[in-house]
Amino acid sequence: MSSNEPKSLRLSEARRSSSEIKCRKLIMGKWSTMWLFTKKSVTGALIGLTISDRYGLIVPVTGSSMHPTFSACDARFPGYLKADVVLVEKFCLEKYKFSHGDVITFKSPTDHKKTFVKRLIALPGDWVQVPESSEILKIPEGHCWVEGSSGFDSREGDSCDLATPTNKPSGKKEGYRENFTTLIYFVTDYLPFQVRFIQLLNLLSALCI
Amino acid sequence: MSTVGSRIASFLGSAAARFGKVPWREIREDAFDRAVLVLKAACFVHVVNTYVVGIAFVRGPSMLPTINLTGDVVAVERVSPRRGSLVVGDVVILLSPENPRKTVAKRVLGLEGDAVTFVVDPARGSASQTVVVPEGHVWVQGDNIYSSRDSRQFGPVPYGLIQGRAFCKVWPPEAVGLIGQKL
Repeated sequence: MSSNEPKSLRLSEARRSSSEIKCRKLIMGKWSTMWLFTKKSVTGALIGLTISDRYGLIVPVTGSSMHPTFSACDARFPGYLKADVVLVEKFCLEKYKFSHGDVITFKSPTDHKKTFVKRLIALPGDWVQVPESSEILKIPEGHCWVEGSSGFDSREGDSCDLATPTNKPSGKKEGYRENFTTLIYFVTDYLPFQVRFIQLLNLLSALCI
Repeated sequence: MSTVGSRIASFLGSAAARFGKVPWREIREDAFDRAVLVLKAACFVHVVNTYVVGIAFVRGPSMLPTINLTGDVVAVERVSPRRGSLVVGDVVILLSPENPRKTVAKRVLGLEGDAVTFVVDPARGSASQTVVVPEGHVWVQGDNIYSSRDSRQFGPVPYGLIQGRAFCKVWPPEAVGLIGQKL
């Protein structure tokens, strides 16, 4: 009897403690996976932020001011899905060397929270004629002239009609060199790749025949 | 001759054997882990410098007497410009509107919508002018108005050019202290 009781006691104790141990391992397991997940996501966020600040990022482009170049779509939900997705590279921000015709993204001078996409028309030192008026301006140092592709468009959502610093309403805008990046775009329907695929097929068929 | 040759051959053979025994895989894995750690640390430093607080070396005569002519190291916080909570009197670090590769330190004297009165040319008398700061811009001026290129020359500056607010001097040790809101 006396030897049985301690055994049964010990058995039940063992069962209880093993279940406790399993429970604790489960909790520890949960915490450790959560901690692992947190570590990995923080590391990923740091790396992603660094790459998007210094090297390049991928953004959708909304609005219709760059119409033939980027497809026109509006910024609210259903139109957003049709937006062209572009690759923006930031290597040019080291030396600020741009050429005429580059498509650039920049922070708006009238609202630093908004980013616009336009084409660079004139660099510092160039003379430019303000469209729809006979005024000629010389671009001062550190500034540039940007315009959208689709011409005069004064709808609010596109921000083509922002006033220049001298408060002239115009369809184009004088931009400042702030947060400029050059845009290299890949259209979402992979048009360049389609063209190349067709060329490759032609080449193959020419070789076979 | 043959003993020399055989000794060289045995030396090369043992060297080759020792080369084969070096734990190359462990060394490679260790080097890779270390490189990844260095990369992660660099990303962390970049994120802290760009989004939280950074350091800038400011020199020049345009912010005398607040900042020394030969240069002071200041701590620059990046949170307030991003949140839009700058006030008049802050010393800010901004990209120069005349040359985006140059950063300058000036004091904010007017936010958007404010009417700023300034002396046009202090060396030539006290004729003053009043300007309303347009939307999305700030008016910056150096503390030393006699020798500073600021908004009196290049006009109001877009808010997006501001990189940070200098709130404290950290070097040289005799100049350590918070940078005040008034001149």
